[in-house]
Amino acid sequence: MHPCAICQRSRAQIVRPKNGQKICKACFLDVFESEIHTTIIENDIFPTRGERVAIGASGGKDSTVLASVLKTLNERYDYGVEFVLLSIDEGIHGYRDDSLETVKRNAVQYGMELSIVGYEELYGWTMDQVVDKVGRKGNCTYCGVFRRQALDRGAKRLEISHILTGHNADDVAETILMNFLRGDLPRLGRCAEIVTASSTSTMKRSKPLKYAYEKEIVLYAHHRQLDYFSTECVYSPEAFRGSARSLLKELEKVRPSSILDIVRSGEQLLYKDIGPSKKTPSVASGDPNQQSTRKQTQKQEGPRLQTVGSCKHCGYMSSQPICKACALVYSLNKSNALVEVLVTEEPS
Amino acid sequence: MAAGTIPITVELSGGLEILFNNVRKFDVELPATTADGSASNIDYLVKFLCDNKMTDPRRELFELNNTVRPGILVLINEADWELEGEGEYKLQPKDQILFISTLHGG
Amino acid sequence: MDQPMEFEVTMADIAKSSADAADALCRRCRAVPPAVTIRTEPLCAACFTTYLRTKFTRHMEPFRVKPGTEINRRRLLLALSFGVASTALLDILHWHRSLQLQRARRAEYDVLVVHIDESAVASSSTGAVDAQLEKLRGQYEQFEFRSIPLHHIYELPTAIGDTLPDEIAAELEQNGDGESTNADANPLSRLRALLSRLNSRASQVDVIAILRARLLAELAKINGCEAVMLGDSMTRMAAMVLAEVTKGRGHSLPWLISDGPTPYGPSLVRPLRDLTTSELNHYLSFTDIAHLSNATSSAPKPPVAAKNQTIDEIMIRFFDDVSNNHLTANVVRTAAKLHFADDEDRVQRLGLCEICGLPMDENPKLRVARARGHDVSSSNSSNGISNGDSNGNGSIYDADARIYCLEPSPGEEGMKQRRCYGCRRTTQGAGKVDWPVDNR
Repeated sequence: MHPCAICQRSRAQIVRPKNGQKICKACFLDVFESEIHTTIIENDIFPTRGERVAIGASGGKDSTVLASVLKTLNERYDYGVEFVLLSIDEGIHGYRDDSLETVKRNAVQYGMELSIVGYEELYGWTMDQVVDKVGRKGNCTYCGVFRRQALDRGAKRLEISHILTGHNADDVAETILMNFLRGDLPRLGRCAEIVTASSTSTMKRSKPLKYAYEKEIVLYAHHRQLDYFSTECVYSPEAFRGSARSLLKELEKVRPSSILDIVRSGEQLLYKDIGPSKKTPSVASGDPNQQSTRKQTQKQEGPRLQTVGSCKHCGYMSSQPICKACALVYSLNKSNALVEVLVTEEPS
Repeated sequence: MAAGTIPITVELSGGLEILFNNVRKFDVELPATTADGSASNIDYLVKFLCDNKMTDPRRELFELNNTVRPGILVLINEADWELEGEGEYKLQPKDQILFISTLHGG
Repeated sequence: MDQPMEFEVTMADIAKSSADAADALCRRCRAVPPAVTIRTEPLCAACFTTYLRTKFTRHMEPFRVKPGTEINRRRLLLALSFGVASTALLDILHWHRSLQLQRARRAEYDVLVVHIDESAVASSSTGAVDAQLEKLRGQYEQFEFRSIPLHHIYELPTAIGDTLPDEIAAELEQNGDGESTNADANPLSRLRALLSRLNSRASQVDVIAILRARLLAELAKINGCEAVMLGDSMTRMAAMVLAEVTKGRGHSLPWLISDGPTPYGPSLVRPLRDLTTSELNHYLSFTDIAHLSNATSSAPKPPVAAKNQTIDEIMIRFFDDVSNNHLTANVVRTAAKLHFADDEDRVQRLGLCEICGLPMDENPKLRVARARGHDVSSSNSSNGISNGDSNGNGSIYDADARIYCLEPSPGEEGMKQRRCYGCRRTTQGAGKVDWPVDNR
């Protein structure tokens, strides 16, 4: 039996991937929570007392752990913020309806208000209907574009301007690798940021679990006996083999700190250093030097500067005359199926 | 060593149960030794489960390179298998083995 | 959340020529049947070789025959591992120089081929180096060949032989093999002692690669070579980019993958960086020199336990398996676009890493603040943003170190000021090490 490296008393039950430390269950729960607290304080995630903040809740492990830990920390350290669970109903029978039941139970368990926005009410299409129309290939694009805007709209309806998402260290590391593989330089420069504001939204988004390993999130949920939902989306492709995710898991096996190390590498690749984003960040910088550097590099790199405007159709924030969601809805509503609309997902 | 079986309990979670006809927990009488006569370990249990209990044909979602697929956590009596020798841990009667997938949606 | 990306896309793998190409003719010369399909173009062996040499020649612009350089013959150092890529480079470089002799009746440069012999510390190396070099000397008469053991790096004039830390000297005395009883311990035992302090094979191989690159640079300087030629293919560079990202060296990527000067001396040139490994394999077989590399001749390497693999090996395999070449190209192209506006400033403020010799990194929070135009010059601000000479102190109270679980072990305090993030990770727990070269 290994004694816990922290308390030296209890039986070690967990090996921390970040540093190989063998610790007991109680110390693990404590360390896990206090690291998230450190992340929150160090990055000033909750600058304003009394603020209402939305937690994007899917009922899955990440958002369930996020909600649970935030409730604990808010009580323990008195952040003075109020959390609201915000869920999206994509309209996927046999998947989302079940996971929404989990979110409803979580809302009761954590004493948080729950708000659900549906694709059907926002766009007039459920994902089931989208798949009927476009087939299974490419439907994830619709879902991704719809979801991003849906979260923003849901928050806006609640008069909330800050959304927390359950993205963990594995997600961030995977996104960094993917952006290299896709050759997406602007996103590479932003995807590791803990607090982001994008061109198409005034909404602030934060990832308090950015440094938390998926392994520890799952173990935390297990040891705290959290109620979460873990079925794969019925439309999600079975893309395990050769994916960036399995590459990441292989790297983690060889050097468990790899995930954190990739995150660290990503943090060094800020958009300012590596050339401009294709879009102007909506957080205006007061530094004239920065602006001029950006323009200079812009000239070298060539992409056009886009400005934030609003969608002519729905009035929602958009970098183009018609926002991506409206463009997709338009293509769906046209009688011809399969109108090709080129869209890329926003970074997670 | 006498041929026989080891009674253990297997639990599946985090989406893995889907591969096993949505059964989350079951008892297994695991052969005490493998074909080559060595004591049954976790790697053997994984193979045994794939051969005898899995209902989904996608074996690679559970087993990879003759061991548990990376990204699936293994708890041996509630302790991380890394503390117990990972795939080489020799199973004992009444062991509780929990497999949790981290690969499913968040 | 992002959907996982499926890499097994149905793009034609250039290594496998398509069926209907076989009965057509080479797309370029239209005279003979194609031998290979390159980026959807069916080519015969001769046209393929021309294509490949053209890609190579683009990077040899600085070494064209120029008037007026006749007296001061320029020298290049070619790093040869006997692998596919460096063997191909050796052959192409020999062709290039021969062409210069033939056309201009003189060559712009001479080549010193150096094989770094790692057999004393790496099990994978072959023993038959001398025989192999002898074979090559016969085939490539214009070049000079040498084999140098890796531990030679401890015998260089720049080596910090006299300043061996006391505790390491003591350890060498205890563990040494008789002859190594003082700070002048033999180079091989010093190298072995260094590697034995590292906690995994992944870290050892990482350090060996750093030492190899450094030894090549130092040998180039000693031998009057202005550049080190490396055989890295596009496939290998993609693997290197993601491997270094995985090791936490995002901050030095531009230095790691760019051709050109290094902080510690001669320039690096990678003339094969636009070619894939499979293209180089075709080249070796078309020119009938595959036997000169040890990639095909030697028996398959003994399998390494999954846990004992290195990050580089995993990445190399990943890109060897990626059937979709534009992913490989994306990685290299993206990394090549990285340039850090504050690099020079960073070197001034933070200096070079004592291990890898590349610019230090800094606290990500501080970087973000700087990028947003905040004044971060007052280093002792109370909100935890501090860097500069204290770079977060590297103490156990350092939030940056805590978040990354890189708190210094006892005796390692202050390492943060001297080692970059990636090198701190690789040398974690090793304490003070007997490093052969001085970077700071």
